[in-house]
Formats: sequence, structure tokens, C-alpha cells
Amino acid sequence: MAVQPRKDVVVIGYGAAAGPVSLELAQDGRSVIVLESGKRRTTEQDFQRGSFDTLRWRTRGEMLPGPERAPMTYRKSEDEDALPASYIMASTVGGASVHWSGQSWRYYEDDFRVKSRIEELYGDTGRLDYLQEDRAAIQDWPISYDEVEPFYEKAEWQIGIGGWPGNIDGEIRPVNPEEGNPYEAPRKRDYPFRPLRDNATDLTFRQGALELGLRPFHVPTAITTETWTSDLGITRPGCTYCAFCTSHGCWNASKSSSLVSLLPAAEELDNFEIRTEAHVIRLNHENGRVTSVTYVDEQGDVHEQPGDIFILGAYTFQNVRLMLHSGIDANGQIGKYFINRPSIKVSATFDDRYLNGWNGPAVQRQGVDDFNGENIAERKLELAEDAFFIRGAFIGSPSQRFPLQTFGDHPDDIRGWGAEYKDYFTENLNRYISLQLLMEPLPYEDNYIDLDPNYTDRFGVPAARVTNRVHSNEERMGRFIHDRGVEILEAAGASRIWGRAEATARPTMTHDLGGARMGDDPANSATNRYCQVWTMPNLFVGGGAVAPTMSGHNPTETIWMLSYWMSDAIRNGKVNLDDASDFS
Amino acid sequence: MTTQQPPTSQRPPWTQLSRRGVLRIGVGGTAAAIAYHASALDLLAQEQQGYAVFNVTDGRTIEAIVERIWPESDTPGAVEIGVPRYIDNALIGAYQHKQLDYHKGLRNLDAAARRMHGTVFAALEPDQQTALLESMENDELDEFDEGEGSEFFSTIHQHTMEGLFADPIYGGNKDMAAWRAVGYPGPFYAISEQSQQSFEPLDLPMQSITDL
Repeated sequence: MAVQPRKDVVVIGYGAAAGPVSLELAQDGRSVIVLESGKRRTTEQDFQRGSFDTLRWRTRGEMLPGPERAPMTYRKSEDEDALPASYIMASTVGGASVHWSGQSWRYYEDDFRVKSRIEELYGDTGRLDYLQEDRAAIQDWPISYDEVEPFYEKAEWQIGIGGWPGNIDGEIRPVNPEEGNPYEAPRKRDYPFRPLRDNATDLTFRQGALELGLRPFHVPTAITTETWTSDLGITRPGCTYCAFCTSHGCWNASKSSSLVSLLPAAEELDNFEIRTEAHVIRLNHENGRVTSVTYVDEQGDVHEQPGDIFILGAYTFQNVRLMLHSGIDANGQIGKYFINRPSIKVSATFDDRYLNGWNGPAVQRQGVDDFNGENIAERKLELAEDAFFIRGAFIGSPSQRFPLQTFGDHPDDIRGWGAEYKDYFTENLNRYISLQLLMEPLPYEDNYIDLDPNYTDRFGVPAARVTNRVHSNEERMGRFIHDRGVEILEAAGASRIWGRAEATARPTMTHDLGGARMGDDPANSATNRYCQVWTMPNLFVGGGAVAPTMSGHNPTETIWMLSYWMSDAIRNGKVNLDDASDFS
Repeated sequence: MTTQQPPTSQRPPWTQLSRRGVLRIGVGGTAAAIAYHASALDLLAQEQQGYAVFNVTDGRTIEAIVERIWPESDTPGAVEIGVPRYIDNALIGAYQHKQLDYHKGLRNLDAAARRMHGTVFAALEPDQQTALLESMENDELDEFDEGEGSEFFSTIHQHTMEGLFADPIYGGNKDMAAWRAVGYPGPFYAISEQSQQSFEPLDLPMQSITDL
């Protein structure tokens, strides 16, 4: 085993979570090595003409991690055997931020204090007992929106996230009275550029939402819409609306990612290095500190990389799996409180118009937050007791409806093949809409990640085993949100609407949070407020694993924010690398 | 990036056997004994067309299946669109691990056809084929182990859709006929605001990756 030269900072994985912290710590003068399991793909070499290929990138998933390196298994509950499942993040430099959709939000103020908020709103109504029966494990974040607001701003201006502001210093929709999320938490600074324009699908959704008195807006997007120079001095061109977006690398470098927004700045620094196809299989530790990591290179040779600070920057499953496999779980908190979004469905076709849903990026998307978070607390209290739920969902109108992606969604009374199906699909591909229904699930004691006793990767490291099911709150929310989606499409004039109101658990989607949640107390959390592992103080957890609750918004901007937040704490000595309980 | 056929020696064993089988049929003049309506010349033409994985029997069966999934109407069906060619290409390439599943599944389906109708699947009437596929999809055929019928159907269905709607560079979607049928013009580097905000069918030139 070859021992590599010692580095100040060793980062495992280079996706969204690793981008900011590895740049910031290198800017601080520290020697930084990033060990990325995947290959290096670039805009110029890999995402030109070849990116316009749905079969290659979406169906066959060329960028996705395989079970040989990143295995996971799934079961709904402890009395089932877990079976191999796959997930759709990426094994490539930049991680899933390369093939993501780019829907990018700040969390609400309430999202950081769900427990306190629901107690304020519903504590004395007697409505919350079902949550105890289901063993919901809701806990406030140890940080507040006000504290992290500057780091959201930094993410927006360094990485490139555009939108209409919904709230600047308390002023609602200050720039465009028709646009921006009116419920968003107050921001100090406007977005650096505007979001994508509306397409026919968006205009249709918006019409339905306005008809119902809702307050639709175009979602904020991490896609440049004009030639734009970031606060890091990186200039990228505006989006051309080609639509090969989700699952694809962007041919035009318009879609913001750790790859195109951050890596070029890091690589200008001599003290930053990224080593690709370096697959970390163990965190070595003694006396309560990580001393080195063991990784396997593309030749199969094994190396040891020593360092002072270690940052887990891979995906939730890999970060948790590595800690557990390495025996880092002294307080029994690693793997607990896994949160994954359940799914419901509302789709429709319109006889009176064409939407041509294939002709725009996925996040060219109008949406409403009227049913998200606790924005309709009073209305929920009017529901029957067995229909009451906490939290909510964003509802939006995605595009990028290529035939190869949508052939499987059709009204229930049509069999998915044969003459009738062919007629249906031929008539309706371009009249089709399927809503995004982004429900916020809760953490539960019986949803968690541990090591699978039966399956391993090719290096013998056990697979991450996910145990995850839907509980009453998600079932009730699913039925309510489904009906709201149907109403919007009816109001928009849809001819035929179908869907599924019963929330179903999935092995995974792309919002897999928890597993190493942050908190105030080592007895019920894995890390402190700076993502520093309580029992291993020179180890930091990047990414969504630290989230105690999920929010009804996509998590990536928050993952970027947390990476800046963590770097700031390390740079400015807010953490003690010998004692995670000693921080300021 | 059309998939190249590897030399015979690298093909899986049943493929090599099947190709010898084709020659025997052609040279020996026994084509008339085959239940489906094909002359030896047809078979030879098909051989020249060159399925890499499917032998003659399996080739006929797969053609019949995909045509039932996406039948000819006022627009071309799956066979004319080249779906069998797409699947064949995929099975020699990205989906090599599925070769055995296909081989076994097609055999089982033919066995069910013989049991119920006394002849192979490809020789049945379209309605009989559709009914048989439904039975396979619903796991009602004894020829398949439990769950394998629906799994095989779901595999063929998925691959049929890929052969229809993937870019023509993969061997299916011939002349972009499937895209044309559903009103998808193919990939573009840029799409205009006017196109995006139209509520009418768009009149854009058809193109594939090779035209970009």
C-alpha cells in the first residue's frame, strides 16, 4: 500500500457538497486533496453533441454509480429482506450537480424549526398524537435561517442561481409584482439573474393556478439565463433551452454545478488537487481522530491518504456507509432518521391545445407554494382529524417531456401497448403535462440506513441498506396534495386527468437526506451545528445527511449553503478539531 | 456510432449455432416446412440483413411481438421502424447480460403458442398474438416460472420503446419514423421563445444527433 503525501484537508467525493468547502479551504491556503471515485467528464469533451442522447444518459444512465462501487439495498420494513436497488446520483467529477435539474431554493425559516413551529401552531389542538404513534422523530436544526442567510447568498452569487425575488428585507415581490415566491424567507440581496422564461406548459399551469386564486411563480433556477460572470470571475453563456437537461451534462455550461461553477476556481490554486477514479473504502482512525483514508485507484492499487481534516463529500448513502463500515458510530446516531420523498402522481392531457412539453428544460417550471410548509395551517385545521397533516408540498409544472421519458405515463384505462396505446401516445405526447408534487416527508425512528448483511461492493464493503416506508402524515398529505394538483389542472382546462393519491415509498430518488443529522446534543444527533461529527472531531459530513428535516423544496442549494457554512467555521476557528462540543 | 458486429468467434454460442441453422435451411431447401410464411430467399435476405443475436425463429418471434406492441396503423409499426434491429444491437452491446433472458423467454412463448394453437407465435393471427402477450404480461403462462412472464414482457416492452424513441444512431427509429409519428422533431441546440410559447403543433425540421 502506497502512502501518499500528507494533506491538510482530504475531501471524499466531489459533488455539490464538496465544491464550496474544497475551494474555500484551498483559498485559505490549506493543501486540499479531493478523492473522487468517478471519471472526469467535461463540457468540451463529453457534453457536446453526445449529450443530446436520452437513451445514453437517462435510460442507460452512463453517469450513474453502479452496484460494483456504490451498492444499496432497500426494504420497506424490518420484517422484509432488503433487495438490491439503484439510485440516480452520479459517479463523475461534479457529482449529481452535473446532471441535475437545477431547481434551486433557499429553505424557509420554518424549515429549520419544524418541531417548534408545529408546536406553536398545533400544540394545544390535540391533533399531533398520530405523529407519536408513528414514532416521528422531528427535531429542530441547531441553526437558524438568519445565521445561514449570508451563505445562501454566497452560493447564489458564486455558483449561479437565478430567480425573481419573492421577499427582499420583508418587501414581498419587490421587483416584479407578478413574479417570485411570495412565501420565501427574506433575502438581503437580489438574485444575480432572472430564472428561465415560461413555456406553453408553464403558461397553462399558471392560468390554472391564478384561476384558483393561488400565487404562481417561476421557480428559481441554477441555470444562467444571460452571459453572466460569477463572484468568482467565471463567465458562462445563457441557456439555449435545448431541454437536454435533467440526466444530461449541459452542452453550453449554462447549468450551474460544482464542475463548471467552482472547480475552475479551485484548480487555479496550486494547493488544490483532485484525483479521479480514486475510490475511498475506509476511514482509518485512532484515539478518536481520523488519521487517513484508504482508497483504490483505477488500476486496483491501494493507497493511503493521510491528513488533518477529513470531509465526506459523497452522496448520503456513501457517506453513511463509509462511517459505519469504518466503525465510526460511537454514539449510535449514524444512519438514523433517513428521510426520502414519497411519490404521488397527477398527469393530464389537453384537447384544446398543444404544450409540446419536450421543448424546454425540466425546470422551466411555474409552481405554487400555497400548500407548502405551514402556509395553509388554518385550512389544515379544518380538515377531518384523520385527514390532518403537518408540512406540505410544492406543486409545479415540469417540462423536458421526451417520448423516451414519458411513454410509461398514460390514463389507467389504456393498456400501455397495442393499437389503442399507439393512438393515445401519437395524439397526446404533445398535449401532456405531469405535475411535480414535492412533498415534505418527516423523519421516523423506523426509517434508517445501516450496513447490509448480505451484499457488498467489489471491495467487500457492505452495501448501504435503506429501510424506509410511508407513514400516516405522508399518506394524508399525498391525498390532499393530489387533489390540489387535480384542481389546478381542471382550472387550466385539462381534458383528461389521471394520477395516484396514495403516497408510495421509493428506494430512493434524488432527495435522500438524514442519516447523520446535526443537533445540539450527541445523544440525539450525529454532528454539531457545523457538520462536525461529535465522536470524531476532525471529520465533517457534507451533503444532505446532516439534515434533521427535509423541507418541501429541492435540497441542493441548502447543501451548497451548508458547505460554505462548514468552511467558514473551519476557516475562522469556530470549531475545535480536538473536541466537537467546543465550538462558538 | 452504429454497433459493429463482432466476428463470429466472439458471439455467444447459440448465435453461432443459429447462423449455421440458417444456412442449413437455405441450402437444404427445407424452408417450406417452416410454419410461418417465409421463403428461403426471405430468410437469406434476413440473414444478410444480419441479426447478431436472434436466430431465424427468434427473429420472427421478436418481430411479431414488437409489432403487436406498436402496430402499423396510418404510421409505420415497430418492425418497419427497425425495433428488432435496435434490440439485436443492444443485446450484442449494452444489454449482453439479457441475451439468455431473451433466448429463454422467446422459447417459452413459442412453447405456449404451440400448446394453445399448435404453431409458433409468429404464425398466429394478430389477435391471438395479442391475447398471448397479455397472458404473458399477466403471468398466466405455465411455460414461465413465477413472475418471469411479466418480467420478460416488461423487458421487451421497455426495449421496444427504446427502439422506437431512442436516436436512430442505435439502429431503431428508422428515418425517425417513430419521432415523426408522435410529433417529436429530435434534438436541437437551441429552441426559440416563439416555439416554446406556441400552443400549436410545431413545424420544425426533423433531425437526429448526427445532424447536430
